[in-house]
Amino acid sequence: MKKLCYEVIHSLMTLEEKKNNKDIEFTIKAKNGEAFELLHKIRNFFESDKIYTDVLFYTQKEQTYQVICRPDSYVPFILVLFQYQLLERVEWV
Amino acid sequence: MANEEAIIAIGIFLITYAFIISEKIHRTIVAMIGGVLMVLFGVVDQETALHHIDFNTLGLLTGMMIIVTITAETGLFKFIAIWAAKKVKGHPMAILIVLSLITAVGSAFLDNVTTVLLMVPVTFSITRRLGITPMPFLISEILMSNIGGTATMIGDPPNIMIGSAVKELSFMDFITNLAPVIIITIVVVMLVLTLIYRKHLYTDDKTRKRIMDLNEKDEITDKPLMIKAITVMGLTILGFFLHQAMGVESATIALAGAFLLLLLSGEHYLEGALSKVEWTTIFFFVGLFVLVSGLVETGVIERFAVYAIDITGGNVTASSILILWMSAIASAFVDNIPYVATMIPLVQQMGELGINNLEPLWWSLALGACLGGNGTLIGASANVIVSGLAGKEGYRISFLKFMAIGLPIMFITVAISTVYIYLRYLI
Repeated sequence: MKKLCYEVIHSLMTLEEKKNNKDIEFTIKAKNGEAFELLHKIRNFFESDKIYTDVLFYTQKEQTYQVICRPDSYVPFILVLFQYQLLERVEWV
Repeated sequence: MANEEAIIAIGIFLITYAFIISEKIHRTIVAMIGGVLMVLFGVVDQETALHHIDFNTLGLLTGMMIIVTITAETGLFKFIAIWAAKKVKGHPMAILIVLSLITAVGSAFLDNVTTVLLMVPVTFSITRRLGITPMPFLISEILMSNIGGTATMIGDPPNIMIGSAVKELSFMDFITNLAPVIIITIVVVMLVLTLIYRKHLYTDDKTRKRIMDLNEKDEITDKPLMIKAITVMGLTILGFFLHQAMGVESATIALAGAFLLLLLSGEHYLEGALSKVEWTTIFFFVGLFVLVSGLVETGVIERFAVYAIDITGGNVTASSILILWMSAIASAFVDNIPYVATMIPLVQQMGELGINNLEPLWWSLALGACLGGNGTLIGASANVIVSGLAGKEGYRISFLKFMAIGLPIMFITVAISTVYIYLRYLI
C-alpha cells in the first residue's frame, strides 16, 4: 500500500509527526503570524464539522499547536494543510 | 355532547401521546397534528386554543436560546472547561468533578441540551489529551445536566412551564426551594460516580502535564463579544431574580436580554442567532398546549383530579409523594414536557377541588419530572443528544449500559427529594 509523503514549507512552520497508540500526533510550530493564522483557520475548519474527535487541536505557548489525529482523518488533515499552502508538496510513494 | 367531546379529546390525546413515545415520526409534527385535530374536531375553537398557548414559556425559551447561541460562539465555555481542568492540575478524577459541576451550573441557567452540546466537544478534547476513556465524563455530564437543570426556573422545560403557569412562584422561589435539595443531590451523585469510575480515571504525571501545557486563552475567539455576552447574561439572570418585584414576566426579561445582546453584537448576528433557535421545540410546545387544552376544556383534567384526590383522600403528603414518584417514573420513559403539560392543569384542578397547599405538589412535580429524566437513555433530550454524539465518535452508550447507572441514580435522587419534600413542607 502506498504511503502519503509530504514536505512542509520550512519558512512557515516546523512539523513533527509521531504515533501515539492508534492516533497520530503532530507538533506544529508556526514561524510567523501568518502561518499561525492559517493554522487557526484549519482548526476552525475541523471544529466546525460535526465530528468532534477526528482532528483535535491543542494550543500551546509560542505559536505551537499539538494536533491529535484519528487514523481515518490522517489523509484529510494532511490535505487541508496542503490546501492552506502550509505544505510544499504531497505525494503517494 | 360534552361526553362525546371528552372521548374525542382523550382519543386524540392518547393517539398523539403514543406516536410521541414511539418516536416513529418527529414529536413536533405529531404534537402539532394532535393540536390541529383538537380544533378540527371541534373539541376547542381556534380562539380558545390560542388562549391556552403559554407565550411566556415560548418567549423565555426563545430568548435564552438566542443569548446562549451568541455566547457559545465566543469560546467562553471551552475557556472555562480548560481553565478548570488546569486548576485541578489535570487529575482525571478532579476533572470529572469539575466538568460535571460546570455542566450542572450551566444547565441551571441554560438549556440542558445546549449545555451538553457545549461540554461534549471539550470533554472529548480533554480526555483524548489525557489518553483516557470519555465514557465516565459523558455519563456524568448527562446526569448532571438533568440534576443541575432542576435547580432554577429556567433550567429545565418542566420548571419553565410550572413557573409560567403558577404566577405566585417567582424565579427566587425556585432557587430557594429547589437549589438546596439539588446541591445535596449533586454531592451524593458525585460521590457515587467517583466510586463507580475510580478505576477508569488514572493517568501518569507526564500525561497530566499535557493538560497543564494547554493555553485556554486561545479558546476565546471574540473577546469584545464575550464581554458583551457575559454582561447581558448577568443582567438577564439579575432580571430573573427581580422579575416579580418589577412586575414583568420572565419571557420579557429573556427577550429583552436577547435583543439587547443582538443590539450590542450587531445585526450580522441576527440571522444566525434566530436560525439556531430550536423552532422544532417551540412548535412542539405549541402543539402540546393546544392538545392539553382539549382535555382541560372538556373537563377530562377535572375528572382525573377528582380521581387523584379520591386516591390520596385529598391528603397533601400522599398527593406530593404520589406526584413525585409518578412523575419520576413517567419521565424516565416518556418525554417530560408533554407529561408536565398534562400535569399542570391537573394540579391546578386539585387546588380548586380543595387541596389548599399546592406548593409541595409543584416542587414534587418539578423534582420528579426533571430527575426522572436520568432513569433511562430516552428520559431526557440531553441523554439522547449525548449518546448520539458519543456513538458517532465510536463510544456507544447503550440503553442498558446507561440504565445500569442512570436508574439507580434516579432512585437515589428521588429518594433524597422525598425526604426533603417531607421534612420541609409536610411535617
